[in-house]
Amino acid sequence: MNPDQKSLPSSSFLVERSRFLVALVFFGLVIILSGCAQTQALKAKSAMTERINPAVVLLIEPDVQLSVVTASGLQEPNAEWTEIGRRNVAQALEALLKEKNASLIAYRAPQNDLDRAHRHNQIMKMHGAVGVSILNHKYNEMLALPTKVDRFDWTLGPDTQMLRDEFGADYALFVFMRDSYASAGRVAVIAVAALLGVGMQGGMQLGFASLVDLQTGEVVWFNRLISGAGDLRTPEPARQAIDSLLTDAPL
Amino acid sequence: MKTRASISIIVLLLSACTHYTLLEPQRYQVSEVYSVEPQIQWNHAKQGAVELWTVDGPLLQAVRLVNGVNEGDVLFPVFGQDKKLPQFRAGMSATEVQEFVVDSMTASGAADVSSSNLRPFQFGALPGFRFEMQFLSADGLEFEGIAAGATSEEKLYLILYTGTRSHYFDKYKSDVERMLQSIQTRA
Amino acid sequence: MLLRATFVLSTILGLSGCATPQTLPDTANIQPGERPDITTDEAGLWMASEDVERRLAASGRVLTDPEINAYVKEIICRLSPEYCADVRVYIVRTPHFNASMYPSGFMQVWTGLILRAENEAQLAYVLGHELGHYFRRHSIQQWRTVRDTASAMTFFSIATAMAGVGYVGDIGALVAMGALMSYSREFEREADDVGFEMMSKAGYSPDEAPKIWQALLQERDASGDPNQLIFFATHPSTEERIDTLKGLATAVPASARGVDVGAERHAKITHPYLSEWLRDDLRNRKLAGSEIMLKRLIENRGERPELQYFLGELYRIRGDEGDAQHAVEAYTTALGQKGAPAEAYRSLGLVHWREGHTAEARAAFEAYLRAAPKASDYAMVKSYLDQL
Repeated sequence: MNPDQKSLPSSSFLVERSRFLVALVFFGLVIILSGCAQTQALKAKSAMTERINPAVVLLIEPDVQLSVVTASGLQEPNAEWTEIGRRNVAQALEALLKEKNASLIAYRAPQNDLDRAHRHNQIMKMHGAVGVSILNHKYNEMLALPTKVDRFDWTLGPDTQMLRDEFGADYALFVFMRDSYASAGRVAVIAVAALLGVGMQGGMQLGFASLVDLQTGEVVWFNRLISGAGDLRTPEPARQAIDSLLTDAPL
Repeated sequence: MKTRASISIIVLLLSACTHYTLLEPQRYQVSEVYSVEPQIQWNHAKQGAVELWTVDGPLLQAVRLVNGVNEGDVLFPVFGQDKKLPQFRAGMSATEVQEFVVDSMTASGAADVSSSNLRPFQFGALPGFRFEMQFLSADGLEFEGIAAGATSEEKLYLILYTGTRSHYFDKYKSDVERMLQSIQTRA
Repeated sequence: MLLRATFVLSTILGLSGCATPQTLPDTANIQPGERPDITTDEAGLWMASEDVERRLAASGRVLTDPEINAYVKEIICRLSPEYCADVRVYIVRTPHFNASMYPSGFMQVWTGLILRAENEAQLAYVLGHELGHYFRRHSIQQWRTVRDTASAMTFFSIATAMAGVGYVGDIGALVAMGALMSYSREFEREADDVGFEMMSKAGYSPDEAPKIWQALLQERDASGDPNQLIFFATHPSTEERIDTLKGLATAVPASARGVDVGAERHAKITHPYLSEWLRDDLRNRKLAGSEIMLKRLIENRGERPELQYFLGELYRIRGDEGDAQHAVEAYTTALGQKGAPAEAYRSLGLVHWREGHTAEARAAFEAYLRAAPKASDYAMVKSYLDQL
């Protein structure tokens, strides 16, 4: 597609959003998947002591995509499932935040104001770069940063105050979910391979969430989910996935 | 295309092997030619001839200390692509080194790179140069940068500081400025 | 697996292209305003495509100037009024010759392509080719082939593994890959045909279609690297394309032969970007090709100072034998024209300095400092005078 972006050097100046997936999948491949969901949350110091309650949470449109795993293991995005999955995730988030006594405002990108849209975009891209940095340096032992071992202190910077002022929100919540399901062909391949004593991957659920204090820009809490089971296509398991991802969020 | 994709995966996995160690704020010999005295603790990794220092991760901010680029070398090697990348030539003027740095950054994925304020700078005992930069990451996040360097015995020594325009560049800018003032070179 | 899938899909999403029909599976053209049914694989592809579009739109690399955007969009609407409303164009600042069409109806056109098209008619041909990919639904067909071939291979390799003949699976893989390549070539031929027909029917001179390929062929031959231009890798041989298009152009009856070329309009619209795009092109370090391109531009657009300046920059950067002399000549020509950039003096000084021509270098640097007293590198260039 864009060949320029394909050959990334290791000292890259790039941040690609797709790298969320790459960073997540990396662990997904390393960790032998058990049936149950694995999560691992990180909290900033401030989140241990201070807590705004009831909090107003700005929900950045959850980035959700559901796919079919074809017989050969390729991922084919499925529009219908994705639409259902997005709805289920939205409902699950709403219910959970309600339980936490937080009110929810949906983020809307500025219309007809190029400058403001640009500044909003920069905040979202910053979240992308920070999110990948957290996944890389806090969840991947090989990339651990010695000065960060006992610290969780990433921030998007004070530009986030703009969102606080515009939406009257205390926090922004970012949610990223990828869910895939084995096709009938894939199930057959897994069965044949199993006869040969080879284990093969079917579907997989990957995700992360981060909570950003809009006053300071600080990422106060971050969590990652990897699961070999789960199903965002039906409300109840979707609720379970969102619960295990967000239960611990300091709201 | 497919080959390129698999190469980038390999590169990604290789870069995942970068191992960071702690660097204390004390005088540090970067190469036989120069040393610097950082003001704070940095995480430090070696990538070939380039030392990478960062606090929050290289996607947010990084100091790259380049140890003697030789005639015909590239600044940021990309596997199998070196022939197409800008190459250093001995005897380059500061103007040409600036062009070499900017073009090398573009080749390694930075977009819309502009540079300004090229001026003389004392790189330890070596008469050198410095300049500022602005660029975008491939997905459009805004970055700023400072480059300072000098050539000695036909080799290029360079310190490159880059960080996101919002927050991360400013966060350690003054520490990097003091570090640039701390450069000591050996005769 | 997941990784590979993501990359394969992203490769297929953007059918690169530039532009005849063979026996292809019978797939209906996409209709104006049509959206695939949400339960289909095509809808999944559209969804992924729309995601790419959102990211591109926010990448900061898309040209926002209304004039050049209107120019490209107008050509598309002239080529295909019925699909005009469905197609969104993004002009992306990337110094390579390419354009790509995505299944959901957005198109990327790279500045390296607009720079290399000599006129509106040549650009129209390429845009028509891309539109051909869109309404012939090539993306989804390509994806289905990859998916089904890969799946068949998986079963095949498991079957052969069971039979203890693992190697056979590998041969199967090679055959399957070959099949994929020829598929995409057929799509390219089809899109070439569609592009030609559209531009010709819209009143553009049909003789321009093969010319853009001839120009690229020259660049490729100069570089000595068959894969240097991305375009060539997966496309029909350029020689074949030129022959086909020349044949098609000759066959157009005189009564239906368009005469519109649009060289002046193309030059006028692109002029404000020329310096930026040429600088981007030199950054690529594909200098042999850039040299051909620059000389063609000089031939077509006359002696503009910025063209000579960048020709000088090219020789200065390359630094092969004889290049210093060529650079000096180009800078001198540029400086002899009205509106030459002050940087031409500085570059002239650098070349003389390298060559050991101290007096000439001094004169050139002094001229730069006079011409650009507020330049941000004033002190640096002044220090060169002390070092001479």
